Amino acid sequence: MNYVVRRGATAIATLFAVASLIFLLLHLVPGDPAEILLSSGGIAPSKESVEALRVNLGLDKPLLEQYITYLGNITTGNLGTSFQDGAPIGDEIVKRLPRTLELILAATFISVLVGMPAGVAAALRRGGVIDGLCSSLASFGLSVPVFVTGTLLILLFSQILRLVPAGGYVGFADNPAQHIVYLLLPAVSIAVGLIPVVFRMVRTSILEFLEKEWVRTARAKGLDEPRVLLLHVVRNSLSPVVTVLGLHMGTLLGGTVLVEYVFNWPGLSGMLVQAVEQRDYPAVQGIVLVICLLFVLINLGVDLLYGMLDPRVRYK
Amino acid sequence: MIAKDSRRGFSFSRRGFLGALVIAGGLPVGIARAAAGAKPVRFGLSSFPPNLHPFEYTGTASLTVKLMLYRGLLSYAPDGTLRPELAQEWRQVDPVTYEFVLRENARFHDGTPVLAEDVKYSFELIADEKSTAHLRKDFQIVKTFEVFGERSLRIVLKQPSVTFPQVLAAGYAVVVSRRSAAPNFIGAGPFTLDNVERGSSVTVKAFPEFFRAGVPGPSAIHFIAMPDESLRIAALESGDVDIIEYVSTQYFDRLKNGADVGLESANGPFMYLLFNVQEGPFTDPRLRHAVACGIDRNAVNAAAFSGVGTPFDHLPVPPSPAYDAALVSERFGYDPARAKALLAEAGVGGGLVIELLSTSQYAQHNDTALVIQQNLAEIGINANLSLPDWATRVSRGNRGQYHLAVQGTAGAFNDPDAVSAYIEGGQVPSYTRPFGYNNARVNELLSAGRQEMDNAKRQKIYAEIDGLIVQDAPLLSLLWRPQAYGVRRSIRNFAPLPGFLSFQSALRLEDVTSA
Repeated sequence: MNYVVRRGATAIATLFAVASLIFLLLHLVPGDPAEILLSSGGIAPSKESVEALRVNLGLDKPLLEQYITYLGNITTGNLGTSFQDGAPIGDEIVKRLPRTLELILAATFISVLVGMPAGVAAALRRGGVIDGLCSSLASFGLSVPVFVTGTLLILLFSQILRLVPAGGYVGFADNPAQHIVYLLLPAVSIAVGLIPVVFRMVRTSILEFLEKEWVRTARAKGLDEPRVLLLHVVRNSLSPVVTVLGLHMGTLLGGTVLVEYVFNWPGLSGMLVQAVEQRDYPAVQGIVLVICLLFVLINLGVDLLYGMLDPRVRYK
Repeated sequence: MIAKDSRRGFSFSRRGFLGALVIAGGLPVGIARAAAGAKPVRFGLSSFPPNLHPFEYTGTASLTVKLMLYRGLLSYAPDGTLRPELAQEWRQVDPVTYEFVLRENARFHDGTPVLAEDVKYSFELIADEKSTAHLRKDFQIVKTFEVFGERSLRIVLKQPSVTFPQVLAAGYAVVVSRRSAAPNFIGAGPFTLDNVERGSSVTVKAFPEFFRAGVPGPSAIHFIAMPDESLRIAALESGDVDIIEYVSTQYFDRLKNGADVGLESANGPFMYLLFNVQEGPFTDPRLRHAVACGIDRNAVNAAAFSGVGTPFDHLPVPPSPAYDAALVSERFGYDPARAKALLAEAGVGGGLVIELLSTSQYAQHNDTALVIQQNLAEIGINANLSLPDWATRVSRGNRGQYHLAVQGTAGAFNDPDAVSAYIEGGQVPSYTRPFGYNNARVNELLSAGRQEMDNAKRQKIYAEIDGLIVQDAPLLSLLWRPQAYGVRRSIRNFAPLPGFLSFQSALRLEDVTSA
């Protein structure tokens, strides 16, 4: 119980620190939102227009007053409205977050689907052809930037083979099949960088566990090899894999920017970049807060899952 | 036919792929894409419109969509000449008075007729003291809006203005219903707003009661925000969209030579250099002249615009009967030796260090700055390059935090008076203007040029302004930049408007048809 309370307090303190930091940083960065909003396309807005907009947006108030209002709002779950069009930020995040999560989950699913069997196969045939081939591909996957992968996938599957659209989005409720078609390329682009992570963790972990004395004991007791592998080696090797995957998923929350950009996937990361460019303070603050919250929750979830997978790690 | 066949092939193979997916995953059957030859048009925007407020300037992508929803008294024909829009006819009664008669069949999207009171309501919103309208300042010249009949309106100006009709034709001088208010203004454009997927797409559908017969051509236009240019190109080539905007010069040949796609472009925006003439080394005009002699415009064109720009060194005025660049013969052309001599004369022959401001956010600004830096190095000026994001660049420009800055923009209309935005003194400091520049004679001439109706006299006025700008050198024109659209060959009747009007090319979308 103490552990849960401690973790909860830490999470709240983290969120408060992030909220304050992002507020301060945004106001320190040069670029007046009112000026930006009225200055697109090389047009010079009048001083009166900028001032009027600053008043409308509440930017004419002292910084401390803005900060207190902001903190007061987020404690009640109000993330404010966009400087761009006055739309509630919370509603927009609720709409976009599932799209980014879906992208991350799909990429993770593909990574596990490909990386785990490859890791097991490479470990069992250590030094063999499969091991060499998979390790080389893993190095390649890790070293190629995601925007290069994405562009190559578009070139191959969209422009040459014409199997899938170059990019875009259709809601699952509107058209499930096409939704999945749109999801494929961006998910694979992310997975290309994630598969090597899973592959290497599984391979290393299995090689380590294969040397354990209790594996030798299991074999000595007469257990067949598949049972030894599945019930003892693979299960035990999953703990570090889950930890690493969890951390990567958290990172991907804010790291799918390039993929969302390249494939025009209307997720949270793309919204964040656009909001930063346009100095849409409420949007940036809201998105960063939500990402921070999710990161904290994912870490907590990973800790708990880790405990379930490894009986030695149990928190009371 | 090629495009049509190609699109069929595309559609078929994707359906095949989807079929396999459905069989494999047991998913419900979906539609791969719209049928070939469908009436709706799909347009790839460079960004998602921040908002659709009809009077505010929020970028070209916004204007593109807004021109579908809203119209004003006047607009532009395909050749860039003024044409009546909601006004059926209009006339200039005397130098300060204009009268307009509205069309009998002009209707708002709620079905109500467009009346003179609606025009008055809209223009008063624009001119309001607290308005954030883009044209608020331009409307300050209006003395009165007088309704003298259900469909008749008289506008009286405080002083003559040759460009006032151009202001009324701008995409921001639109008419909204007086029974509507922000943010839900009701317009009278050829399309009505159908669906907005915030951050992703906007769909407009044809307004059957639009006043112009046979217009609009498309049954709907689906605007899809595609900030990544390579994705826009890929989407155009693979047939996912029919038209894309903001095609960089590096893609020109590829699109021109495409089997199913083509390129439509017009010289519109221009690139230029701005000096901070209030603080720093460039308060000395000799140093500005030295820079003018050190800039190789052809090198900028070759390196940053693939050689398809049009270098020029006169006032940034598109072809106009009121301006003749040939009337000024003395200019500071590319002459590195003279540049070095001018530097030596100014006492900095041993070297000069300056701050050159541009932005890394737009490749054309970034690449132009790199060439300028190289040019300056060759004459002995060491330029420290500052390439922040666009928002920071705007902020620094507005505050004069630079010595020399790279900028690109387009004027409001194809008239020499458009240069007032860049060289007229007494305006609020802006990143589009040379910081601190204010020449009383230039201001006087600009005002005279604005009020003069005779083109021969205007030519002389703008020639004198041109000469003064050559001497003062607060800014240096570099080149005209093509404003280009990628268009599938199945699309008919789309081409950008000429000159500064290229940002309003979306007006042509109402005439587009899909083969």
